[in-house]
Amino acid sequence: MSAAAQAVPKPVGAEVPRYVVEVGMKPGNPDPAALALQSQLSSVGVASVTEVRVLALYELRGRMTAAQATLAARDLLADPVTQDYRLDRQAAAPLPAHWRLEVWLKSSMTDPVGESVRKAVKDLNLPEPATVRTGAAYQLFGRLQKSQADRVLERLLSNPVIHRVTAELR
Amino acid sequence: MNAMKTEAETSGAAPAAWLAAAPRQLAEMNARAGWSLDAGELAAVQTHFRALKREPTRAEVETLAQTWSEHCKHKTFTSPILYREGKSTKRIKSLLKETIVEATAKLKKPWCLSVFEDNAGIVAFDKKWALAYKVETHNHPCAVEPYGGAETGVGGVVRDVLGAGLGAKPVLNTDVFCFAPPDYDGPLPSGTLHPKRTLTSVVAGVRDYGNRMGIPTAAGGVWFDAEYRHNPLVFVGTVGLLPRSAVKKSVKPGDLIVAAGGRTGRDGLHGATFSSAALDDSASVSAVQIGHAINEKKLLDALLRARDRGLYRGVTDCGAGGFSSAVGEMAALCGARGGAAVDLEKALFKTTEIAPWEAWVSESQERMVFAVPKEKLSAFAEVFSAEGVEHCVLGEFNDSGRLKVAWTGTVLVDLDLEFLHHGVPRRERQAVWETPKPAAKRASRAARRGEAGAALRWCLAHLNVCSREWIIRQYDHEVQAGTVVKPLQGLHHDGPGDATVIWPQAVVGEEGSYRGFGVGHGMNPSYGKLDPYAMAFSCVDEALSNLVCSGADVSQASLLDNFCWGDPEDPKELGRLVRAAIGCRDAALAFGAPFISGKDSLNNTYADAKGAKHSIPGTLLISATAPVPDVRQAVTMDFKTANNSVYMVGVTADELGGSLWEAFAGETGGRVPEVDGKRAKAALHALSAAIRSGLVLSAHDIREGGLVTAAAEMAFSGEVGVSIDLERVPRAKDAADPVTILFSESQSRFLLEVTPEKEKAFLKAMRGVTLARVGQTIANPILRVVDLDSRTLLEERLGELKAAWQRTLPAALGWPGLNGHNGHNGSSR
Repeated sequence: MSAAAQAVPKPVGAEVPRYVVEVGMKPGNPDPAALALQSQLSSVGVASVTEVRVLALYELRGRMTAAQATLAARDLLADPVTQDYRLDRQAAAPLPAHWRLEVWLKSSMTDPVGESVRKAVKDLNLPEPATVRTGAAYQLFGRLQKSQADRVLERLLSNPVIHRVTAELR
Repeated sequence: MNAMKTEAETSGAAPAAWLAAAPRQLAEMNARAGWSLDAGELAAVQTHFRALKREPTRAEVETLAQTWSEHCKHKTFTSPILYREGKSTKRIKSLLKETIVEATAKLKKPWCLSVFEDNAGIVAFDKKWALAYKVETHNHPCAVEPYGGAETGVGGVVRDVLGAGLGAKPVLNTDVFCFAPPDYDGPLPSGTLHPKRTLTSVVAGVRDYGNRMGIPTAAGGVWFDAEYRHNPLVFVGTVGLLPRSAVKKSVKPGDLIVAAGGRTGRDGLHGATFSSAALDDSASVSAVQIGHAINEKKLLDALLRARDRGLYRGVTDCGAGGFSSAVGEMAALCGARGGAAVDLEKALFKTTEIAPWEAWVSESQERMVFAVPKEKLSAFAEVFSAEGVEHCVLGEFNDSGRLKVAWTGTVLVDLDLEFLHHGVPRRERQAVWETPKPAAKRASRAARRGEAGAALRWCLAHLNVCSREWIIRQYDHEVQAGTVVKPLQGLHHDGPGDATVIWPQAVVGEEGSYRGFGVGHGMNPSYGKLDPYAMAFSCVDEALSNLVCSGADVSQASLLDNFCWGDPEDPKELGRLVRAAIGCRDAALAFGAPFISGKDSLNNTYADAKGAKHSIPGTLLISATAPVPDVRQAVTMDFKTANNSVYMVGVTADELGGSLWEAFAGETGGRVPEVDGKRAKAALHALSAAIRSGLVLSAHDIREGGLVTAAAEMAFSGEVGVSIDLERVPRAKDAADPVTILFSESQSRFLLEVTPEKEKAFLKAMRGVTLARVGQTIANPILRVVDLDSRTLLEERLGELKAAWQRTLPAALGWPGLNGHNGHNGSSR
């Protein structure tokens, strides 16, 4: 029982810090996930997107500092050769107008990658997060209506059975 | 753990007042809770508890509903059926026992070590090792969430093999799908995913789970038919290797019930409505989960080590029904009467937001249940902890005849095992089969000989024939280093292989042995639409033919059946199912190949806008395995060099019912291909022996698209031309025109390449089998067919044929630029 009690995620209150780490390909490196999405856009009637970028998202909740979350991002979540990372609370370099579509697993879904990340953060001798959830962000550059963005989300990127999604014009 | 929401126990569809409920009220409760019990079963539960003079608990009803479900009990296959065929009527007591199991019992093959009793069928591999093989479907989850559904389907069948005997090491995963065409553009009801989405996501799920666990996914197939648009079918299989000493499991009173692997959460609670509002976005509690392949790999590693150290006596997987099924099944094995006592609060949970009855039936993934002798617990714990796998002791097995489950002292379940496992009432169903009237005489096909070239290219490009490279390349089919004959074959490793051959010795360190095994599949729902009996025979013929072509010894083959059918309450649908099952029995007996395991998925139906029920085409997958005594003698299907003889085995008749030619030409009413069991067995066994003696250079069986399609595949895969003379093709009287000879789909036929120096020995080995030298391989990269009148009928360039065959799937998926090959497509020819 003691082992069990220890490993059960502790209740998370509002005061527990939350960090979202974004990981994407460095400029100039090919991004197969982005290319695959771009090649599929025409099948849902979207022809005006000029560029797609895909970011992996990790939401870390736990008693850790921003510096510790940054260490986790640098040493664990991003590949130093091909990928960039940033914490969402850091200022981002300004981007042209784009739609940002986010897809997360619902909280009722077990998140296997999140669980592995939680253990791996601990293995780095950082404070073990209470929870880690994973998702993806898709940045679509070019002219796009809200209805088109919703269609891309619905038809290509998510399933309402397991995902929660957001679409935001930035 | 005290924060558990025990109030949920009495919330929702609580089974209050079962004893006094009228049938209508029981039906309402049943619908609300999603138990899927029928009226007779609800009444049986009521009667049972009336006799006990107490109300059942929610957990008890859940346990009964899970254990009695179609999924676990195969009610249709084991219940009585009144079967009417034409004017004769027959009462079948148990379809399964009287068809598939009966064939195995009659054949009494010595290699069957454990059949129809464990989580997988187990056959002998050699003196020391055995193979466990299981194929399952995961159709509904894949329709709702294809990626997670496919992943958890693979995870489930892998656990079946881990839970077969004392556990087997998975050495091969198989995958067979039925989808609507990926470029389907007809209407789809809301909530139904487009077939392209389903296909790409299912492939990704199978890929990720198999690749991450380090199991090669190396054998499979896809069948496309628009009638699967509401009900995609996903068959996943696993073959595992285990010592023959580990084939039998047991459970003794006093053994500890130990659960290991993943934690228990609210995953996969079928339709259960949870009253808690605490979970923010879980309004639709998902019956589908994302798999955790890494957890299952750790479980696998720990399990095999514990098995080899003898740290447990029995094991089974937590699949449908979760703990309730797993503990219930193992309890039945304990002593004379069986029994188990569980303290469920000792389980390890993912969340505190779980009601006790939910914990009991939760289908959280990657869990197994063990029977561990008390004195072995500390060693068991050590092995599992070393792999980072959590475990917990849930209770003890006993010989009380009862399944008792408590939650912090409160009784959740106290059921008589006899009632649990044998109390389900058997209801007789009606089945009927009307033999279709023979068709009116067809128009002569001879007049269409000029279309032969176009028809060939059409057949090669057909979705059910075209290259599957886009799918296969996503799978790691080489991991474990034992894939001897690969799914893609030929000069550029991109031709369509028949069976896969696996040499599993690398994983157990028996490197001195060259013994391996082959796995082949047979499926053709088109034939089934015309006659399910002929379909079943053809599926067995195809699966075994595939094994023959790769060098396996089919005289020692074993079969697995997977039925996916529509509405069993519709007598016509059930009649078709009965007929297919009888076909399976007759084919098994004819070929001397026993069934060792099987599974059925019924009720694959959808309701249209008017509420009318539609069933999928009755679909049967036959999977077959047979030993390859020496993997160095295995052969592939591609022609190897010019100037060799091309032989054809088997008789070509006017059998084009359900064929690709009919689809091409718009014909109907053809005769569905039938297997002559005696002749087929003789041909397959003789050819199998000839190939194993090294007398055949390449072999391919003739299926959809007929002789000319098979010849084209062999030629373009090897980039070796071929010339075939139709006059020499062994044929029945009714196969009198070139179109029929080229495109007939008569069964048990093969094309073979034989070198001149081995021809004499080959003919001697094949004595008594109908065959003829129908042509030869040539240096010119073309496919040439000489007509019955000695004029050239076809002269097609191999590069063009191959391009037609490769183009289809990428184009249908909307990636026309992607040709699916690895840089050489032979187009230079």
